[in-house]
Amino acid sequence: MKKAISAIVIAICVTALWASVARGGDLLKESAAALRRASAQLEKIEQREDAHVVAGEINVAKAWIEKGFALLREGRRRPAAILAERLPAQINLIRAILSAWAVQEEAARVQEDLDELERKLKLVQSRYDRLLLLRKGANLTLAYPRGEDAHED
Amino acid sequence: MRTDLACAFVTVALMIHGACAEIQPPASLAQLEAVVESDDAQQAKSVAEESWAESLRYLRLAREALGRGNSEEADRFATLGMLNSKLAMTMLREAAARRNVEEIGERRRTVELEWERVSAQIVKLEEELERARMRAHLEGVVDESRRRAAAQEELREGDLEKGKREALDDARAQIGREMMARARLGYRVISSLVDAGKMTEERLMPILGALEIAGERSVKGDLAGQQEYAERSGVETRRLWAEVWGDPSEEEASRAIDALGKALETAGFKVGREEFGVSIKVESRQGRGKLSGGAKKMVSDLAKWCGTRENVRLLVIARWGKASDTAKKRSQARASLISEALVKAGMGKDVVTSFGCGFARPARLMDDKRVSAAVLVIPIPETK
Repeated sequence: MKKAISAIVIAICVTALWASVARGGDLLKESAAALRRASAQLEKIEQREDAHVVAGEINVAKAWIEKGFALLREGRRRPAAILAERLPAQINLIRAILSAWAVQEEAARVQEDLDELERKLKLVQSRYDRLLLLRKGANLTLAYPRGEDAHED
Repeated sequence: MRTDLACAFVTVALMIHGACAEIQPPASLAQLEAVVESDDAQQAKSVAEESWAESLRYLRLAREALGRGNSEEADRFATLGMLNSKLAMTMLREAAARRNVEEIGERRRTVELEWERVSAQIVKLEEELERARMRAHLEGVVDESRRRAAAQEELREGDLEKGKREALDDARAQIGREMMARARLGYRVISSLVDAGKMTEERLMPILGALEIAGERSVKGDLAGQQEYAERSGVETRRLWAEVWGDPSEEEASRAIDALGKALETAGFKVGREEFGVSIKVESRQGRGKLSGGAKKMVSDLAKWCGTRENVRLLVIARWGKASDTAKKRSQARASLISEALVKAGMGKDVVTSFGCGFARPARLMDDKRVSAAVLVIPIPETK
């Protein structure tokens, strides 16, 4: 009986140990994959023309990736996993900043267009005012009398 | 026994240390709490519902972890919460920028409509004014009787007697000639601005096109059509003139002409105010191929005066008195003579051009029939 119980306890311990080791292995694989994925996504973002806008956030993400790999090499899976876990959110944030920046740039461009148009309108209005003024003093009839006008006298 | 005591001491010490660590919340949690309680929180919630809900979830998880005394886990969740709250705030900024784009777009459409409305009014006014200017010009250079004849007979030209027909043709020819000369002078003025590098040659095309059609209408005997296109050419000329001065109100150009006239008068010239500058009469010639003494002196003085100025162009206008080829040749020769004299006296070749206007009198100074040649001094805006 004692032997049987001992065997069961040993089996449970071995299974737990095996599960723990397996989980650790999975964590390592998952973290490494997440870090690599994030690294590839960042590379793509860095190739964009507007990447300078998110340079700071990219550097933060890069630092996390670097530290994550370093931790994995040291065998510290848990802290590496914590860093890897943050990266998707950080990359989403980078994309959102770029998207917002594009809209803000468009707003600035549209505002510039509007300023230019308002300047033109001001010029056109000044011409209009001037012409109105000139018309007041002008005799607005035909250059030479024609038709009905010719028979007025 | 001693070993037991030591173990108990170490355990108690560790527990105390753990308890102390528990009450220290991570900085990230404090940051996240501050963001969640900020003024923008409500807006962020409405714009970025999902990200905001994630932030709140992580805040809850971080607090729970802190409650369990797990500061590291609290920091982990708080950091994730911060990232999501930053994302929500960024989306909020983007939404605000989008609203801004829409508002500016609306304002732009309003301004565009106003611009179109004023521009249409301007076109109408320009045409009206050009018609008034043309009338004023014709009143100055064509007898009232001829202008009336041209108009009255138009109504019943089909059954005209021979004599009346000739009178009508004569009246129409004179009106047409005067209109064309005025329009061509305008074209010459704008051409001289092209020569001065103030605009490209292509801009002259609308004026040239209108002049060409006016000429065609003239050949067909369509005086009304000729007038319409001569006026169009005039409208375009005024428009380009205003454009070159960079002042649609033309006030700056008008001031420049006044100032130029005043300066020339001060220098001893007798000048007349024209639409695009000031004119100075050139005395009649002394003999074939020669200028009179007075004309020579005037030309020399004018060249000296203009030679020190960059912002003027000279247009020599010459008309002939008889309808003969010889008169025409003589008149053209005279225009060349004056131009050459100006160049000889120091004016640049590109600054002086000449214009033969037939029997017409396109400049105010030439309303006086005795004036057969004049120099039009055109001010040009300084290069900015």
